[in-house]
Amino acid sequence: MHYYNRGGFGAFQIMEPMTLGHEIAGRVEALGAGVSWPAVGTMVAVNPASPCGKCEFCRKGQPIHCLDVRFLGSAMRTPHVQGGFSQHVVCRAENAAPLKNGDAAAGAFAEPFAVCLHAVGEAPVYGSRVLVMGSGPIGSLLVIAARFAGAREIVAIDVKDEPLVYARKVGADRTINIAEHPEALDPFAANKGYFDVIFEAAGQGSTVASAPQYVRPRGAVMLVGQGATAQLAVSGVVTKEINLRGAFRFDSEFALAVELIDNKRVDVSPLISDTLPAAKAKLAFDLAGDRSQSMKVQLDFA
Amino acid sequence: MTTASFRQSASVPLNQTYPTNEIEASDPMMVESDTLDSRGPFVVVSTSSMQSVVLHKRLDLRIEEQSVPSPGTGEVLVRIERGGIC
Repeated sequence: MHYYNRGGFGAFQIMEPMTLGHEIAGRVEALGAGVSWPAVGTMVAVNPASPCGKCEFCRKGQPIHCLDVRFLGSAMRTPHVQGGFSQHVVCRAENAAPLKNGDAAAGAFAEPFAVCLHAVGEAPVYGSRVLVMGSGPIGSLLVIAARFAGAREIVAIDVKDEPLVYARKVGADRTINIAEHPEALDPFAANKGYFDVIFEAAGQGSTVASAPQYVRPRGAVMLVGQGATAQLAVSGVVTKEINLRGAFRFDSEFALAVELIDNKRVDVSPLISDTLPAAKAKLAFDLAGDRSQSMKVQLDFA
Repeated sequence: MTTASFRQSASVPLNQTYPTNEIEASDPMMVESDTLDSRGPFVVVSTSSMQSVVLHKRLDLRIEEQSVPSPGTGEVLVRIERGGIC
């Protein structure tokens, strides 16, 4: 959506035609040399991240920060890495994660859910009161991930009612439309804050700036949303000793996401609002950009 | 890798469907070609071309013909069924 609507974000700007897409699932149809698994016909979720395995960060066990990663549908490098919204995609055999249930629609959530499992895994969520700011697909998947990780209470906020319906559907205890009820957050700022962990998934400067007042001293504010420029009152972070940090992409969480989805330990399917034939991609992207009309929009390539 | 060349194929109009017997089932690339039926405009009619969702610039999204990539050493070819928009 960032590429489609704005031509990119940060260092990721589209410079040449690029096939989009990094949340994909389908069936293995041919094996290259030296590959015996997964077998032809196996339904797989494709891990779009291929770190180099050789750079300083890969060798340190931090492939998320690989200096030479190839990520499907990413304009970080030029020539760009073409994405997965094609009828046929080649990937490394180890990037094809089998889905025993054969559910491609659920499997296509492996990538964004892995992002959320990574963010949740980097914060002390077990037994915590959690605030999710922004209830789009990532915010809603963060609700699912936080429940899985043992959150005690999850509050989700947004500026629209429609996304909050989805957040409740997947397990938020309480939702607040802060455009209609900005005062509803005030009690959470009392006594140095209420939440142990806050996930910012709106990608808005205003939510980033307001988060510190709602978190308890020594709590965590996890920035997951991309693209914002925030004006932040530093003293709020300093005096409450807030752990303010980012969470980006995923590593081993992809395999975890696939397993949890495939074994139905989590149910991501309520988040699919629309499925359109891939030939109607433009319509689908426009729909996905309208947050009052859609949650997760999927393209059907079959 | 999906760095397929952007070949324009004039023989495959986007809105036309084809009977399944036009699929070249003998090609080893298309081991599942019998499943490629004509359920809509998104149809593969040859083993060498496919359709992709390509962004040229902001808001300029096109359905384009590309050549089907071949899996190299250590790689697999996946027939995509679903893709989530992010």
